[in-house]
Amino acid sequence: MSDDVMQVFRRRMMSVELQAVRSESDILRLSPDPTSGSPPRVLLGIFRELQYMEPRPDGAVHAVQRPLPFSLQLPADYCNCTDGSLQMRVARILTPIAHPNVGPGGIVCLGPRFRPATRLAPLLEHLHRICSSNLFAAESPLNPYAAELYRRHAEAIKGLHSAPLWKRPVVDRVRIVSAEGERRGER
Amino acid sequence: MLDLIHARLEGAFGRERLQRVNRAQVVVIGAGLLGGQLLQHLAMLQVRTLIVDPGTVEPENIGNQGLPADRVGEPKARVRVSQMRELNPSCPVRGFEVPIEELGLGVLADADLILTGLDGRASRLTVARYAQQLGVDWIDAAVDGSGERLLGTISWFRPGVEEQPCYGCRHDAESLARITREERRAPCASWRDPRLPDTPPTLTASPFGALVAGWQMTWALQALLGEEDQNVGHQLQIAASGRPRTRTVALHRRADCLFPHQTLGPLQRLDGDGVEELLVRAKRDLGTAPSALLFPGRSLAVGLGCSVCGATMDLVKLAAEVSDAEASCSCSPGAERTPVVLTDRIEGATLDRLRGRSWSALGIPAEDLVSAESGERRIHYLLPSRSEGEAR
Ligand SMILES: [Zn+2]
Ligand SMILES: [Zn+2]
Repeated sequence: MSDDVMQVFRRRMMSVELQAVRSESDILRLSPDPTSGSPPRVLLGIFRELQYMEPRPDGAVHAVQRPLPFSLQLPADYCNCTDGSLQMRVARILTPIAHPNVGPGGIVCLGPRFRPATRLAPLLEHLHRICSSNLFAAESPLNPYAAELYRRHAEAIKGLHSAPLWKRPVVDRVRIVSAEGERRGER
Repeated sequence: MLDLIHARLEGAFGRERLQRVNRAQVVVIGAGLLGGQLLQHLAMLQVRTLIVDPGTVEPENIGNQGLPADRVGEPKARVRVSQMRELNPSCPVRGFEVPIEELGLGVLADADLILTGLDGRASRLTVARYAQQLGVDWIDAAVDGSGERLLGTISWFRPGVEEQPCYGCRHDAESLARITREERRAPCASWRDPRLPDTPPTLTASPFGALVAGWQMTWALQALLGEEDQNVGHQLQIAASGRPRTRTVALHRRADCLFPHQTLGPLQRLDGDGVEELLVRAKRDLGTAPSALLFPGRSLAVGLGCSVCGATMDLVKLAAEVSDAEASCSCSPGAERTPVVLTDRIEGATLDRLRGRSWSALGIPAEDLVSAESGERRIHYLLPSRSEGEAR
């Protein structure tokens, strides 16, 4: 059995967090691999009823409330990465949305304040804040089109901030669909 | 003259011990104030040396780093190589004009000791990772670069020994975050070049730098001779402002350290530059075709998509190597393509598409680490060497 470096520290890092998140809500059905005890490298989850902005064909925007599936992948240098691109290697959303910091394939830029070794619960919280338009950086966009949209409809976006939904604890707002050591094929 | 030097060293060390030093290989990362001093000693002792420094000789360096004024604008690594050859033509020395982050792990794989004199803490995190992966002793020296105080530290790490402190042990998640945030803050749009420019040059006066480097070299000799290791896992602190003080403290092993304390174990060197060759070899070594390839610490763009027109383009490449042409879309002026996926892990259909490609075409550095994975098993490979980036 490989005593691989990355697995050891991922185990150390994440097992505590997974336990904590799990005990907070039985909605989360997370099962670390029973043989290795190793926590998942890839996590598939759904934000239940996330509120976000959607452009309409006429150029206006409207708020929609839908489940949003996402995946988290913990890269090998998750804890000691010195490269700013880590902020774009961790989270992906699996349904396209118009957001300044979400790329065409769904990669989410977690922004310069995201740090290596961020634990699972705060990571989910952070991702939720981004996806629900509570957090965005229109000045350095991955999607300039969405950035322009956000600029034009700043008032409507601000209106989303007061939505009561995101004030509940993140564990109530997320369902972990699967957590696996092996990543499935590209979608 | 060289015979004279040799005879004198042999007198000082004894033949056998001198041979041990001569057989060793040392990597010096950072060829500035501290590195320059170390290299002088290493040249005289005729230690096989690799120099890694991405910088060029700046006018500010003249007068405190022992660099010649007529070589301003030249790569520092190159200038240091020629300085060492001048001091001792028989000393085997190689220089690499790249940041440590862009150097393949394999370049350091045969080293017996890593010595650093770096400005930034973020670069030290990379050195820490490499030293840990390889299980090579690392002696780090740092001086207060503000120019206001004369403060220096020397820390000796021995990776691969579970109970030994590592560089990461002194950092909790919070302080780690500060390092990466302060020094590598990059906005979302800069995915092709996430690194910030170098920290400003160290202002420390050269006599103090020489003192710190001299002490570092003393520890380096202890490491190479393997005779004394009471300083392993310790830090020497030197304060020279006012009345000089030194003290040596034991570094603390953090129980919940965020960094791995194991080495990678055996590393297999590859001969050919083709992806196919690694896949074939990995299939033989694993007994089954690998399900994924891992590129620890690297960021690969898989597919590029335009958020204006929605068109995507097929591509697998190190993000930093994606060209301006590849990153711009012709659908409208200024439209940019961004990665569909940015990852350190290639698998499935993407992996199949890489057969027939070469590592250099993918932009992966020479001698870089690539791990092949099947289930829980991983085998670590080092890509073949290429000659670019090396000082002549
Ligand atoms: Zn540690
Ligand atoms: Zn386009």
